[in-house]
Amino acid sequence: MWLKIGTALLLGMMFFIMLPHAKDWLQNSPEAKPGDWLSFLVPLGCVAGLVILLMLAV
Amino acid sequence: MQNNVITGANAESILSTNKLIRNTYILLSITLLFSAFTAAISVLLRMPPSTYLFSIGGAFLLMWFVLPKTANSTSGIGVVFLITGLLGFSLGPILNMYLALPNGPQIVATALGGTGIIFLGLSGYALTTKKDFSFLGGFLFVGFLVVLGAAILNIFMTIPALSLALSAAIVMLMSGFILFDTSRMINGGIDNYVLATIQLYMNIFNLFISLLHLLGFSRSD
Repeated sequence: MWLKIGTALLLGMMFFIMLPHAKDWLQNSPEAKPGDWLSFLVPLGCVAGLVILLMLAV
Repeated sequence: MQNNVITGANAESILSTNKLIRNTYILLSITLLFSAFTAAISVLLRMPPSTYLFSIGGAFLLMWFVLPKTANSTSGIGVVFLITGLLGFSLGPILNMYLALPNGPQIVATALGGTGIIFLGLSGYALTTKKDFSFLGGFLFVGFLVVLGAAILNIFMTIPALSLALSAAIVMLMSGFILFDTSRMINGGIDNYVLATIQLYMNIFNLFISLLHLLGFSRSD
């Protein structure tokens, strides 16, 4: 039980340390140009496909 | 004369970017090997499950409070080795758990290979296309916070399906972060190779653990 509490505390600390960075990036991220999201989603789709393949292969 | 000045400034910027990329990948390679070494020691010593919490906790404290102060000095490299060594050591109990499964070594080797292919593929894509992925910043950081929140809840609720979904989400997020961090090295946004190394290392570390979880689930008899 104390391991769970310790892990939760650690993740909670990580959450609060990353929160200001997330706010900063949300406010100051540049806008995506046409085609930017596609250039992100295509390689991510390949990653998803590879992971499914690996899960079937094991 | 003015064109020569502009060309000179561009050339200096390109040289600086190339130096950053080279130093980052050299340090990343060495720290990955060191991390694998400390993981092997942890596996052989059959460290207890609590090792995971203490090693990760120590690594995170170093990353949050010590590394930012030392990143611009040579001691930053020592801190990076400490962090990656601790993170590698924390993997011992997890690896022993998966190695004990039927086909355990295959699961671990497949996860390792898959992590390598994903990292090299995405890095190669970002480096060759030179696309600016900084627009992903808000999306990735908020996504990571959502996953963290769900992970904290799941520690106490222990829902296997949620655990699986979280691992899948982390694989996708870390893949996004690999593109994001690599693009920041090329297009500006980060100019310190010590910090760039630890960012990429954490992406690889989280990717490996999540992949291990997904493969272990798919194989569980």
